[in-house]
Amino acid sequence: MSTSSSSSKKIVLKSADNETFEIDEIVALESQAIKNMIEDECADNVIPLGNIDSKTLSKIIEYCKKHAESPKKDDNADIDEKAVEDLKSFDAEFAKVDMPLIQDILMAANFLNIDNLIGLMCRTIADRIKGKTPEEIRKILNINKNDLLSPEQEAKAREENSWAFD
Amino acid sequence: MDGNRHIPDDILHNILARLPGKPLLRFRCVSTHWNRLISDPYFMKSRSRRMIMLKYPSPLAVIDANVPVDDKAHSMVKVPSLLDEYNFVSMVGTFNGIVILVLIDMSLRSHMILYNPLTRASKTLDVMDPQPPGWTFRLPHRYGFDTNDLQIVRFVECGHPPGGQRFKCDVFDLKTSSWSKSPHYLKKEFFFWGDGGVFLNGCLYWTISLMNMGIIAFNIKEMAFSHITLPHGYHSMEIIPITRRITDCQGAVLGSLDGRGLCLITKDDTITFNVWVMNKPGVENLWLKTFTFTLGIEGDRFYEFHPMCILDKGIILLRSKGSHQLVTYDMSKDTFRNLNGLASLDDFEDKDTMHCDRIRIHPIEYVESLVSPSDICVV
Repeated sequence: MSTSSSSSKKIVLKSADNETFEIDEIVALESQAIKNMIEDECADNVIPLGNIDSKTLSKIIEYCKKHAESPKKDDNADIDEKAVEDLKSFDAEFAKVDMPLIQDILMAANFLNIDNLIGLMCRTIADRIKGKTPEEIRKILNINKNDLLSPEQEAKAREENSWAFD
Repeated sequence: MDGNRHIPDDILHNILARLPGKPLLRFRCVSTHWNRLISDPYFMKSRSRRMIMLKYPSPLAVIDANVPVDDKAHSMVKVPSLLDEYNFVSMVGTFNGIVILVLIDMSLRSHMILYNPLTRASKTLDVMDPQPPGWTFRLPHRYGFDTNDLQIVRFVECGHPPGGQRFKCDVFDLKTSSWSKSPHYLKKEFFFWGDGGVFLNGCLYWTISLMNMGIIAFNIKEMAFSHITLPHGYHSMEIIPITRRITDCQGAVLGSLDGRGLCLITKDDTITFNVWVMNKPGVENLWLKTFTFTLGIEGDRFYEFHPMCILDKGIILLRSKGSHQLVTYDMSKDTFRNLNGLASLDDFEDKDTMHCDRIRIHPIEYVESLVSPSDICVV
């Protein structure tokens, strides 16, 4: 954490398992949802996040800290390439977690409305599933077993798109 | 968040929209919900994935520049043959994710085919017999496609002495699936470079050459031709020495800048490229040189590149002469990007005899869809 922001306003987040996280307001502002709460002056005390566990929340805070510290793209047209590359490699490392955690982070990022993080998690999932079979997808993403195609429908879809199963 | 991790629709949409076409087809089998989402025409429209189809090597290949080049399974896909045997293919145009192809079989019949490269569904629109006796078959017919009115313009080379050699021009209407009856003739004073014309604001444009290099414009509604000169210094064949004519004619590539204007790429020398934009007719300087870029020097090594076509958003596709490497150049950002080398296809064959045809066939950029070719032509 940079020293310049140490004197700034603090925001306290509370996870579903009752762990509290004190973070700089600038970090919390990465979340559009929290930003709205702050602007509406609804963020005076602790912000309870009843659907995000502490493991997920600490990952999210790690992401927001890094991105809050990095220069924003639209601030300055000629941001040095190094900062962009640095953020890219951070994102790549950040996404190296197991699939259930990826999904938890994605759901939480969606709830907190953190655009970049939603994009990163969606991209990660897409990259991981693109080489898989439908059966593997059902397992990985816990697809509802009552929503499967009928055997006839599935046979037809496989025939029509046979080259995609090569 | 243990237990149920139900993915909301907008998030699922976000994930699926990032997938290449092949897994999307496969994932229609995941569940009825996924099938519905993927099959929804609005999904494919919002995904708006641009693909490049090119004839090179034989017969056709599709490049997905959205995928990193190291993902070989998805970044470059070979298109299976649509006819058992044929000796030429023209890429005429594209609409709604469908590519219009004309294949010439061994008995010189032309097959006009609608093809969806994603679903691999095809439909033959018309089979044209070889030209009648007395008509010379020299080059395959030249085509252009009017994307607004879904009309295919065809130039047939024919010899009718004593009038001399001419091009007969007729129009195929996709909506009625029929040829127009009144052919127009044009004195054969030129050759076409490239097969598919560039469509812009009701006109089709081709680069041509014989004595002079130039551009021919065809107004489809008025069925009228006009000639456009190239920028000063590029109109004469002298810029292309005879020995290099075939390969270096690619030094002039015509395209449209996002449908806003006609754009021309010329080569000054082996590594310098100029980008020209056409002003409105009547202006003193018809062509405005917008900028210049260089490509070909890498350390102390030198590669010669040829522009192949202008893609969407001012991106130029180029091909190296020796290594068959494809590169895109982004005009707005002044950046280059390496695509797949064509030689990475496992059955790649560098047939020198085909070289002339190969470079004349401009790649086509289309947007992936699940539209069926059979659903297009409703009489």
